Amino acid sequence: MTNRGYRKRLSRDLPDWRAKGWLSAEGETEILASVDGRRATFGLAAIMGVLGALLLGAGVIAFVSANWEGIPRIVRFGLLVAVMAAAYGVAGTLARRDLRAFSEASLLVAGLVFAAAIALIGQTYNLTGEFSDAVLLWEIGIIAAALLTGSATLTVLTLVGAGFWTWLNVVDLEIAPHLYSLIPILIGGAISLRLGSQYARLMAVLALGFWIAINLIGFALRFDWSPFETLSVATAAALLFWASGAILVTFSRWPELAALGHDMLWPGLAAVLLSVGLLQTAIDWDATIGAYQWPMLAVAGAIIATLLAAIAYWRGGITIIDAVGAIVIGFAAIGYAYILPSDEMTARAIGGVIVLGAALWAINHGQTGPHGVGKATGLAAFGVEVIYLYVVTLGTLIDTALAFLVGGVLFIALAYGLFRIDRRLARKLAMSAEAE
Amino acid sequence: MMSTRFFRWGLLGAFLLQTALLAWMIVDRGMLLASGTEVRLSVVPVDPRDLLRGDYVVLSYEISRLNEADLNGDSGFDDGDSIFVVLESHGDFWKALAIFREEPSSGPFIRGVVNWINSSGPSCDTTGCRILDVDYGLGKFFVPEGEGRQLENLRNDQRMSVDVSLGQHGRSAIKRLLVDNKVRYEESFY
Repeated sequence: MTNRGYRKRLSRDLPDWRAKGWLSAEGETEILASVDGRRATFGLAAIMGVLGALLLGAGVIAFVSANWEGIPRIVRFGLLVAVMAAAYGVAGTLARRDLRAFSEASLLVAGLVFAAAIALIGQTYNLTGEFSDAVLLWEIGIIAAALLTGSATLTVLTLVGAGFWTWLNVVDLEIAPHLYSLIPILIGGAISLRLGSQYARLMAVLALGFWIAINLIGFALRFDWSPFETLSVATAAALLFWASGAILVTFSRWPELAALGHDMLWPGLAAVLLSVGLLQTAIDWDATIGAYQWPMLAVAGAIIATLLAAIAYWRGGITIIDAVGAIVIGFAAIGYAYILPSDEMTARAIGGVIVLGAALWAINHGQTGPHGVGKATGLAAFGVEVIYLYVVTLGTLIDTALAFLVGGVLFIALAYGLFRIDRRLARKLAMSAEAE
Repeated sequence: MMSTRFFRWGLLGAFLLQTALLAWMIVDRGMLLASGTEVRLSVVPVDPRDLLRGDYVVLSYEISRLNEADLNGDSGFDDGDSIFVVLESHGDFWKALAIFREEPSSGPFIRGVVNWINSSGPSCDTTGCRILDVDYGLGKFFVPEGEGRQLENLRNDQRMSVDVSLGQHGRSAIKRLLVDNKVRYEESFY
């Protein structure tokens, strides 16, 4: 929520809370004053600054790329090092004047110019080796700079670079799984925790998710897995990701670790929904099952996710319904891929039940769980799934015009039903809160 | 967040470390070019475009495709194996004499990696024929923007060759590019 939105909501709620005797008039004034005093850390000016830095960096890289002969290479190299030095110098000056966001933008320029300098040397000496080696060298320099300066921007750059290095190794060089690329992601994640930066932490979660997804796809292609096999392993991996977050979120003594866990919950939930959503469509791609590695990997992943979910429940991170739901979804997805019904309608029906179940699980996770994450995503997934089931089953059987009419009525009914469920759950929660 | 003083020292440290990495790249290559054994290889270039580094000519060498049966040394190489190729002078140019898995005791030799193995095609007329496609890391030569096309035109005439510097353990670097045995590009920082 933005600072302005938060203030608006507070100024609406605070008089109510004061009327109920929860806080004094002074308390109300103090709270509002503290919100007003808070500075926007990433305002429009800072965003413009970062965009400017990106453009400057891209310009320098294009300048090197043109391999212009007008200036000797040693002078060009000297210029790049001078720009790097200037960017670090400006970052220092801006930080001293308490313009931290602009200082970070200047560090971004330094990081991109460092990449241009590596490209220039590669060009001069015709270093063809692997392009990924040059990216790795850049990554080492940026990780060191992020550690030395404590810069959130350089940490984000580290994680973006780590993602790119993963891509080069898995997709271009076809090395899957590529475990080494996990190291810079873990280092970047550790720096983001030390810095307490929300942007860097979110980027670390995204980079880790990207690493898992891209390696899983690379691994599946290497062993010629069918979509069924790949997506059931993806479901287990997504549950593992979510359950890891659910455990981390209980470490209240380490607030940064708990925040990391909280940031992992939504991507985990969304990945579970996406995996089972695609799994049900796999019968339209290729129904063959044959590889032997995937059941072992999927079952191992689901068992570990079960253990983690049990620990998270025991530590109070999730409710019993969250935990049991996750276990049922995981094993249902594996069973569905393993014992694929031969009849198409049965296969679609079972696939649909799994997806709707997963959507309800996500709604419940957001509604009754302690973290309020997943409700909107679950509701959206439920709606999309009903549309999908309608299109692939009923929609194909009746006339187009009638299909639209029935569809319209169905969706209005669905929206009303979801609205009622939501209101009932909210009322129930309010009643139980009052009873306490 | 760290204090301003530590932040300033951190900025200096980051700059020095990144500059040292760049200097190491330059010195490492410069020394290989200055002190290595020089051999001349004939090439067949083509011309794509690399967005990050500008125009370059793709170079493929005679020694990039090796018939196992024609060469002394080891056999039975697999994809991804390291390979050491002993070279022998034939007039102006150097050609492959023998191939080994381990570093040979005498040279000159160049180290590469087996990309893939071809067992069919026009150069494979015997059963069990194995042509090794070898990558030496000498596959690109960067030229000023636009000039890659001109060099591409020379490709069909086979008028291009490359002088390569060979260092310890079979490391190699392109020293200069020649057209009709005359130096066309000789690249260095100095």
